[in-house]
Amino acid sequence: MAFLELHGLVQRYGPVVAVDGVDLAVDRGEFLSLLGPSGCGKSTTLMAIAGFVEPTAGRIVLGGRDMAQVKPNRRNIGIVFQSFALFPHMTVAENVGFGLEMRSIAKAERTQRIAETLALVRLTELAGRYPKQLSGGQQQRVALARALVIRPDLLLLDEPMSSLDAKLREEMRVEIRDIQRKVQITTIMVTHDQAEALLMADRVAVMDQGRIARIGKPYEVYENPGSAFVSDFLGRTNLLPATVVGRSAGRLRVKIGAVEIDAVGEAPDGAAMVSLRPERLSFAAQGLPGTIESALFMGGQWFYRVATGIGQLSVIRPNEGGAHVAEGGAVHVAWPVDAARVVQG
Amino acid sequence: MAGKRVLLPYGLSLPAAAVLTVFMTAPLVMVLLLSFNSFTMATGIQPGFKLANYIEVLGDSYFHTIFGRTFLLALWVTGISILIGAPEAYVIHRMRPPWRSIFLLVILGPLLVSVIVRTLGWAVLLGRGGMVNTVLVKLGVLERPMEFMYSFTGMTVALVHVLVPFMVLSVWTSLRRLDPAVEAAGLSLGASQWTVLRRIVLPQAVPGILAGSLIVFTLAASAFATPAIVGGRRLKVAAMAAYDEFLNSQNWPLGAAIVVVLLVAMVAIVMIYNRLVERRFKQVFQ
Repeated sequence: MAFLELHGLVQRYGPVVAVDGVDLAVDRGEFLSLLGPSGCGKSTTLMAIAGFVEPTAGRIVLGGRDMAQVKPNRRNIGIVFQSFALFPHMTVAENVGFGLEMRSIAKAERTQRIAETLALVRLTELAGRYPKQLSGGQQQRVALARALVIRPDLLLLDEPMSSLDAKLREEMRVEIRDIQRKVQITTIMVTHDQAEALLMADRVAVMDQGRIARIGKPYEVYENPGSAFVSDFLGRTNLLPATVVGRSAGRLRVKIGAVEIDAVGEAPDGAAMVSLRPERLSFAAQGLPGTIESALFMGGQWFYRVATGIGQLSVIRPNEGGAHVAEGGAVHVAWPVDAARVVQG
Repeated sequence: MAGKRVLLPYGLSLPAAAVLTVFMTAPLVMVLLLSFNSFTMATGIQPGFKLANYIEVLGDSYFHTIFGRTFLLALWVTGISILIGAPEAYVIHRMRPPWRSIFLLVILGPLLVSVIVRTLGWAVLLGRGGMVNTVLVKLGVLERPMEFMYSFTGMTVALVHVLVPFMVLSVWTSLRRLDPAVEAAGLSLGASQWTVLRRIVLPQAVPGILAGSLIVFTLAASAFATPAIVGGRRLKVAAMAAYDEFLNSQNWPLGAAIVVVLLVAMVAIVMIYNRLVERRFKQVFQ
């Protein structure tokens, strides 16, 4: 039995179905990310786990205990909110100590635990400051410390990086992941940023229209997305309408336009989609002939758009110095067989 | 160019400054000067510079009672307005969109009716044969009608009704700046709904409560129409005393001295209160 289980969770707001039957099992100490576009039901799922919305149907079981009758302030769940939601009239130490005070923990132990947790998030020197005197990253660390100090059974992160600037966001991703590993707390993070989810989580659950479309380890989900939606949402991809025309030795033979190629995946004969990740395409002496329509420099990479017989393909090549292929140049696009993956449309 | 830039703000504030000088500062200075003149029935107003009027206002127990009553009334009205207005503002803050506007309008409604009309309404309600007494007697709560009119209680009730919208509005304004997630954060940390209200919402509403109490206090301390109608002649407040000196006794200098004392006392109380609250809740004022 998993530590946190959702069974057939449904959340309706009048005629709107925000969550439409979510089943989920999260192990103790695991970091799971709920990923999806806005309105996919990920935040509502998180709020239901926290107890701020009452599910229309379904059960939430945390540590073997059904949460239906448990009020939000009795669930022992730490939450980091999108806006951080710090108490502006309390110092950093008071913010962090609030949850301990609510648990009637003696002053001496409180002081010690506040100090330990502030050290964990590297904020010891700022204990006496007020939230408004802190930078965005520091505020976020206070929010994290405030959620962790109560030693919650579960840590919920609601779009935790969305109010930080790009550079800080990258630093905090790594820092939060390291802290999560260190204290080994079961964590669920909601995000719409696929890079964040892939980098931080042990498993990602991609949500679409109130359901979980695909769940698994980041690498597996990325490489084997299963559906066109997931493959398009996670990273960039070339999605090409295709027809499955045959199969042999675990490979599928698909026809895209007038071109027939080999692909991997499971699909019945007939219409399907083929996903080709742009970073797995390369230019070679032989392959699919095409013309470079545009070559965009992105620093670490070159981003090409190539017109070919199966449609326009995006190709990403690492910048290895030296010459790149110029616009208008004739190329042959090649890829390993397992880069062409048949997904459900 | 640079010179023009520097002068521009002064130029732009000139019209407002002119209006304030002509209609506010000048009359105040004249009242101040008037308060040092002297008056007898036989001679009328005599120019001069004497402190006699102030000695009378500050020394006479008759005026002590009036000023005591005025500030006690203002204090009660402010206190009750906080107790009614702050929770009311929170309820409105928590309402969903269509209801919020409707109830705001209901609260602002009384402000659209003239003070005199509203106060006369209270006179009808609170009178000996008025609705409140009739209902209380019929229900057996009272044996015989109580005197609400011409009483301190009646004055307080009527003034609270007139002034509570100012409290609601200013508290509501400061609650609107509240991040809705902080209440959820408080709950998730194990606080009860009540503790969240007391420890998290209330401190952040303090600037609104402060602004509201300053408005309510000054308006209550300088109120004239409501105390005059509901309180009547026996329960004079400072504004009525000044009115009487000006228009009944024709003793303008003494009336002016009452006005100056009222103004100075009010400014002093407001400033001290403001300073104390801001010092106590320094963080939420930034």
